[in-house]
Amino acid sequence: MHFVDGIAVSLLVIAAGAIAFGQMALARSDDFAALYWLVAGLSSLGAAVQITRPGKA
Amino acid sequence: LSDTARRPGPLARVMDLGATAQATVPGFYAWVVTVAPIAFGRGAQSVSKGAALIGLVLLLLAPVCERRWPSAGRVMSIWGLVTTSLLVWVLATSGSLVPMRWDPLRTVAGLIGWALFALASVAPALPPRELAKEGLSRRLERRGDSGRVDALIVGAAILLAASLQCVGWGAEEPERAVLVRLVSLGAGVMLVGASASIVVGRHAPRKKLAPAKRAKRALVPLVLLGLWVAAAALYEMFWGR
Repeated sequence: MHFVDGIAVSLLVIAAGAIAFGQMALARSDDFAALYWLVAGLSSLGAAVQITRPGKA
Repeated sequence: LSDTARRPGPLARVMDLGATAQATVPGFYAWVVTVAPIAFGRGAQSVSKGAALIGLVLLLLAPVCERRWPSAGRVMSIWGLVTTSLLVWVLATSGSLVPMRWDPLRTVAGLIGWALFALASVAPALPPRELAKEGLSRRLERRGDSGRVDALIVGAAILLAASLQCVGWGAEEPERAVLVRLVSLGAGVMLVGASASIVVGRHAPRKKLAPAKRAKRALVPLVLLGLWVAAAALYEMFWGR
């Protein structure tokens, strides 16, 4: 397992955590916080995919 | 070679049809089962009838258009049918939707039709040369860890996606509860999809890139994430409770 793969998996876990916080905020009608956490989760998910994307062979 | 040996088989002929032509049959089936009964039912508005007909025409014209303009053909096929169908459903009176709601056979048939249309549109059966041309099929390379790391990454993502289903059950309003469940389902699908992309990315043929260069490609989402964290810290500092 390469170092970059480890970072990608960490970003994936961070994304899941942020999305979970977003869902909890959404459930208690705190839309501002929900939007914040969901955008943070999506950014983290995007970074996780981009960081492992290979260069053109 | 004899004529029979040269003649392409049924699968090869289906593959040669193109992506939108393959989606036309299930799309037409979904239209007949879920759109036409509402658009041409009793009390339907003329706008609904027009939208349904436009959707059908776009669906049938897409394979012809695809030969010359492939991207436009796909847009016509997918978005033409989906947007006009949505319009029909939005304009439908509640009375015209009642039989759909209570007829389980028609509901299942409609679900199957739309699922097949989605599958044929997104993952059409294409000959290997077309897949290679579009960059959809590339040979993967071994990384020497016997797939255990891959299984671990995808397994962890599935576990995380399942965990998301346990969060946010405390919503009081039914509409909000449905929204939370929709978000959790969408996020779960995205998590599993991202893990699959990571696994494929690990094995795809690659140019050797320095870690700094690779990190540079993820700069936009990472910077966005950093700005987001900084914004939260500033918010807590100045306006927090």
